Amino acid sequence: MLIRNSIKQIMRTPVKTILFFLLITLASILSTLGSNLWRISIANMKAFEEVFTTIGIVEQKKTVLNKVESWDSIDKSQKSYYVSKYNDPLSVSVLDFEGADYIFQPVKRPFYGAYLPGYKFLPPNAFWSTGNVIIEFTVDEDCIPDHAVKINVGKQIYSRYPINVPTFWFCDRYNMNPDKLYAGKTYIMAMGESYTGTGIEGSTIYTPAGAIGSYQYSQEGELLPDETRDIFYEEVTEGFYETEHGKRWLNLAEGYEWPYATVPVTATNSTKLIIPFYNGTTYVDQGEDISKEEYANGDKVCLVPSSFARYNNRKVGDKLTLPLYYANYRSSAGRAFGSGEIWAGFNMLNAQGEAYPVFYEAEYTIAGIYLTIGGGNSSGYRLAEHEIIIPSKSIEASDKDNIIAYGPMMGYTTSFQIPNGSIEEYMEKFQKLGIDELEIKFYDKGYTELKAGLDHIKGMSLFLLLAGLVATVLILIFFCNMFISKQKKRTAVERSLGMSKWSCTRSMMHGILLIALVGSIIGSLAGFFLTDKAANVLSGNNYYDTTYTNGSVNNSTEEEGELESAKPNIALSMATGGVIVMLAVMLSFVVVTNNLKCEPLELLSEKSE
Amino acid sequence: MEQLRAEEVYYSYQTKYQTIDAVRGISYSFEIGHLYAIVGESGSGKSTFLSLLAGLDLPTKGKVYVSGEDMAEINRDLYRREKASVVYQSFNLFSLLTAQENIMFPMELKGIKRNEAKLKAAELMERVGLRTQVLHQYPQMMSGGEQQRVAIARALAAGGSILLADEPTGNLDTENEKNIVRLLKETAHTMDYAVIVITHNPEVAAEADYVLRMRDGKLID
Repeated sequence: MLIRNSIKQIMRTPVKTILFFLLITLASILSTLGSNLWRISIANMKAFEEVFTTIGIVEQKKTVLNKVESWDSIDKSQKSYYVSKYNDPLSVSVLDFEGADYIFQPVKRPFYGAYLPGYKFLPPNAFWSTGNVIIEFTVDEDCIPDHAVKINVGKQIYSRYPINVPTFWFCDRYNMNPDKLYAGKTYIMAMGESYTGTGIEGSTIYTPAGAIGSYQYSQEGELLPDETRDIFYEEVTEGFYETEHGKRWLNLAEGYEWPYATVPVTATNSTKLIIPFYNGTTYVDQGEDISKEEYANGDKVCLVPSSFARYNNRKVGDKLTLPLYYANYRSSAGRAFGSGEIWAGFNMLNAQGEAYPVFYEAEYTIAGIYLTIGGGNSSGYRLAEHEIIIPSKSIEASDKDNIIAYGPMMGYTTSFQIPNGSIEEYMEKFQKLGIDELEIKFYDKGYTELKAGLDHIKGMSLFLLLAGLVATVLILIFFCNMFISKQKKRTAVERSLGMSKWSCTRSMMHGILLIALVGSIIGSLAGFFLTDKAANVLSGNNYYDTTYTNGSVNNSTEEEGELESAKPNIALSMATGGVIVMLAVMLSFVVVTNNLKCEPLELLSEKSE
Repeated sequence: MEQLRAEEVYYSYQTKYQTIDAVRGISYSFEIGHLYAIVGESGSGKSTFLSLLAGLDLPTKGKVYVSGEDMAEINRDLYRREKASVVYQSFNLFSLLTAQENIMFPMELKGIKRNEAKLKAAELMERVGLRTQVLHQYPQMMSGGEQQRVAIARALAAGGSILLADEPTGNLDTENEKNIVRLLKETAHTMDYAVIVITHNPEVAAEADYVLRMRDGKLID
């Protein structure tokens, strides 16, 4: 009876009732839209945090200009040119400054050489197409090899392929004052083909290639002293191979062979720190990426390229023993193996004149097999043909005696990860250090722009939510005043007819609450569907790309992806409607309570005593 | 038969500036079958006394007894719902309910079924002399006399034995005034009600069985 009478009375003011219904529905739509968009933007933000990573790559700038003089005996010309060079390599520790909030500290990533003689590579020995040889030779007449001279091939100390010719044309091409060669003496030399000159009768001219000198570096990046670096050929006398120099020539021969069975192994703290993996041109095709925990624990797991797995019949879960024998801190494997730097830039003898021994060997489980889209180029950012990825912490021995190359920080060797959205803050702090020699480029897949968009949506949704709630309160106050406050007499009559205060309260509230309830349900549903439409639009806009935020890397392949936006939540929509109903309950209760404070007889007697 | 008894009833209330002693030591017994008129100047405490008799408030001192029971001890909402009804000068009908619905309201409050309440409402309307056309009209569509008849019918619909009326003819013309007074007299005499009327009008007071005069919160004779 109470409910019926309450509703009956409110329905008999249709204009006010319809207006109240429409306004409360509209406020409910706004609030639901706001609350759902707020939730979606937070959910998207969280999802984006999981999808996106912000990495920085560090490069030391070339700041020194050196004039280089070079003599070419074939052209008979002195060439000079200027080369910009690096200053002394800066330590990566300069980036360990206060306020740098790293997820992964900057690390100069080495790649290691793993000696795998029993494995097949594709294409076989592709990166060793030139045949460097170590031979004993003689000359028929005394001569100075400042031009192409004929030498007689003697004992073959090392040759990848059998030498079937009795003589070579030889020229100490880049040496302005070569030593004289004497007839009747036997010499030993490592030599390779010279690409820009053919000798008499169209034969290839050989020039000195490498020497018995060591180019081993200390952990601090200093080239260890060695007095044999300028020796390109030596006379072989009785007992020569028992001498220190003689042993070096034999060790060099051994060192020449090992690279043919060497695959590069890159040690890192996160796969994402390696650019091809980061930008998606390389991805784990079978098995799993190395997990955060495996990286953190230094588990013996690895990622291998699909070509390596295919040619060596390896699959996920198989074991692979990696004997590591050198560490390269100058280049990435992609650059070193792709450009042949591995041959030209260093030799394979350590400071003691011995071939580098294995410094660490362990059995790794193949966690995943990766694929690379497109061939890429020889830039340092690409992966090498057979590059294997392992966790840095999995190497339990120091490589300090096996460093064959050391150079400044390069984008492809030095990277770090910081929290998404903190590039500006990081750069502000970094610039205060005043280190001009370092250039840092960030790569965030457009997170900064997306986040700005999300922040905008978040702000807008908050505005909608607050506007909806404020509108709800104002509408409720207005209509409570209209439907309840102005009906004090009605309450007084009800009281005088014997209705309890609680019954009077219910009598007043039922009508207004019913309209608020229906309005908020319809508004919440409409808000839910509107948010769904908005979410679809948002999904369409959530493209990301792999361009750098504050720079670009030449070889980075730009790609795009689409992120699925979170969907509106029906429970949240209903909860928002519930909040509106609760507000209606509270406000109408307050107003009715105020009504009940009035003395019925005072209200009902028009005249005053 | 005694229905309502006031015994040394006092009522004071606090305004912003002073304490008002509205009722000061009234003792009186009201019996069914009689029409009582309470007269007095404005501010003499008539309406306050009536609100105490209606159970809308309790005396600050003294007691009001209903059929021998202390008003302070009983459920006063129930008392108003089942025993006492109040009629006002300004009618105070529910403006958004029809005449019929207004009359049915106290019956529905008591739990009487709608159909039964409808029949009783029609009966009461006939008794108070209302045209059947008025049944579905809203108060603002009726004359003052019709509204007051509806108000009396609503008061009678509760089916109690006490009818309290606060200046019931104050807003009516002479003819309607006479009709309402006659109706109140009939209610007292034929329906066994104790009818207590507050009035300024000597002609209304003249129709009462008993006239109580109040001054300064007291009965003076």
